Amino acid sequence: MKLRLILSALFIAAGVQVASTQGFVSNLDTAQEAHNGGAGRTGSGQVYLYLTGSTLSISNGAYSGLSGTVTAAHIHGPAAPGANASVLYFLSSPAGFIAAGGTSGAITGGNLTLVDGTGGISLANQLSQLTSGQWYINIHTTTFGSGEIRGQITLVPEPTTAAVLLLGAGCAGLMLRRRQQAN
Amino acid sequence: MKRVLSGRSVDRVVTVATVGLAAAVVLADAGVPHIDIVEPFLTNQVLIHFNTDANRAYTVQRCTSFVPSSNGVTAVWSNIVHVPAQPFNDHFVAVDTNKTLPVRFYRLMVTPQ
Repeated sequence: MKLRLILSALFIAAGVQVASTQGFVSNLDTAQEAHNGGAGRTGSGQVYLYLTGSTLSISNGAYSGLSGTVTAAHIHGPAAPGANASVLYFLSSPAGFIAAGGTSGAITGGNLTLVDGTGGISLANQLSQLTSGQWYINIHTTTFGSGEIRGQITLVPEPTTAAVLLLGAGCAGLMLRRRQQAN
Repeated sequence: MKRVLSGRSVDRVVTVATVGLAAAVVLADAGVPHIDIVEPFLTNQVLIHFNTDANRAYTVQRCTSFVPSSNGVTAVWSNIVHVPAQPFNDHFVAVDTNKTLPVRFYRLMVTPQ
């Protein structure tokens, strides 16, 4: 019985530990720039990100098919789909995750530290905005200075996290049921 | 940063000189027209980054020479890009593709104030 209790506690603890890292994805396309007007945008891209504490890790990604050469890329916020916002963090120079000068390319992985007060926003509010889908990635090009492709950053539930939590909860439930049956 | 009032149609002007294209990464305070970054791009091109406020139109101008005049010196400015007003804040990256100028000055005009 004690062994089961310890195992359940370990599974739940592991689940909580995994859950402290949250995964995000940004699917960039031209449709999300539609409210900015101007025909002729082309291209798409995808970026994966992970948040641990105040560190946002750019995992990997790529973009391609742009009509113009990349001039800059940023994380903007807070803004819902269909609205724009000022820059919060650079992904292009000097950050170096996205290189300027091409119409396609890979996104270099690395860590971005979220800083309290950036854009006049507290760190707590930044984290809240990020996890509620109010940040977006925008790639600017020579033909579209306000951005050619854009992707809202959305939270991705970790299947492993859910599975571990479910397993831990299942073990705890089974243990309780057996204890009740024994009584 | 120099701030100049100039006429009725252009209410606020920010002038940034680029000598040697030194870049500084400083984001502007909201509401103050400001060129954030001027940086070299590809071969002899220049990128000019700036934030835009909601409901304001922006024009980036370039000056390549100053000519003597009765007032002292007059700068000759030409438009590079015009950004129409939008209903939200944003960020714009303009490209100066004039490849032949070793020294350029840029300014950002905002309408209305």
